[in-house]
Amino acid sequence: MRAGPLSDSSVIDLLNSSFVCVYVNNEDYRESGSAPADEQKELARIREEGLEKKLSVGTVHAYVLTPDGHPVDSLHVAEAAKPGNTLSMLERAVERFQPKPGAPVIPPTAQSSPPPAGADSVVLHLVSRIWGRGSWGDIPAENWIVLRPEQWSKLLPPPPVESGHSWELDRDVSAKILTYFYPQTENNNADVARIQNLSLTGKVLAVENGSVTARVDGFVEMQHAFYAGRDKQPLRADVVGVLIWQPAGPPTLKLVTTTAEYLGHPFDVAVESTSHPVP
Amino acid sequence: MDKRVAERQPPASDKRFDEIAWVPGIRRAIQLGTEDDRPIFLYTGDGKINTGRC
Repeated sequence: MRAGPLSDSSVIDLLNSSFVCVYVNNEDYRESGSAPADEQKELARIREEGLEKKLSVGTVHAYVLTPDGHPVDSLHVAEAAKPGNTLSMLERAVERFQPKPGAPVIPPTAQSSPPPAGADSVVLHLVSRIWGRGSWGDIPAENWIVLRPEQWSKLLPPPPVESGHSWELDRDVSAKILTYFYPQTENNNADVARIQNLSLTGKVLAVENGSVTARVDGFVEMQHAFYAGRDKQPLRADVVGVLIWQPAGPPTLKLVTTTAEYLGHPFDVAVESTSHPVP
Repeated sequence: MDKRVAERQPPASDKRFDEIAWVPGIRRAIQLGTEDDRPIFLYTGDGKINTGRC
């Protein structure tokens, strides 16, 4: 949907001018999910009403609701993603409800943004994209990885730090980063237990006025299933990066894949430290 | 390294999803739909459509 109708100018313009738009991630709305109970009840109600009205109802769906929240139209994602179908559903709703076109009800904002974290934490932004997979590769995947001080400190070598010194970065913290080195797949179980082998090795390149710059080289090998619950397939990514730090503060880290392959297709990953909101 | 990281960031054409005025939560959507007399578009999906991990 994101690479199809939800990137189409006609759909975007109509949604912003005449609709109130909301999306939900199903796992947040399951009983153990993070969405408030009242939110979960609303989604359950909408689905129940949709079934009563004999609409198409399921987990991966696009719905049109009345202004006060009752379903009147729907499409399974397989239909909604086909060219023109979502736009047609929206146009039917406009014809029916005759909304007064205007500005979006709220300003559009970035939907993938760094999570709040302590001022002394390191927040890493990861982007991953596979090549040669058609629609699966159309939109890159992103992750936000938070390293608290007791974690990022394990990436650094013990003193004294001198030019030319090499060390192995902590395996558990490295795994917390490298476990997201997989391309866009329907399965997003990023359990570190998938990792079979990994290594990140640092080598100090320069120490200047207390600031340390180190090169990082390494790799990760894991078994990752494309679909949840299906057979896992091997994945390998070779990485290179730069780690920079000063004695009093958290480091900055950049990593990129040099070669990476999954299911016979190459993929690229980039990781970099970012600023983040502090709660 | 900076160049390689920059080259791999999603271009604007990959972030058109962010051009849509997504309201946080169904209840808030119903509140605004009622106030503005606008129908509601609701998308439900597995994974996280906002990060592409879906």
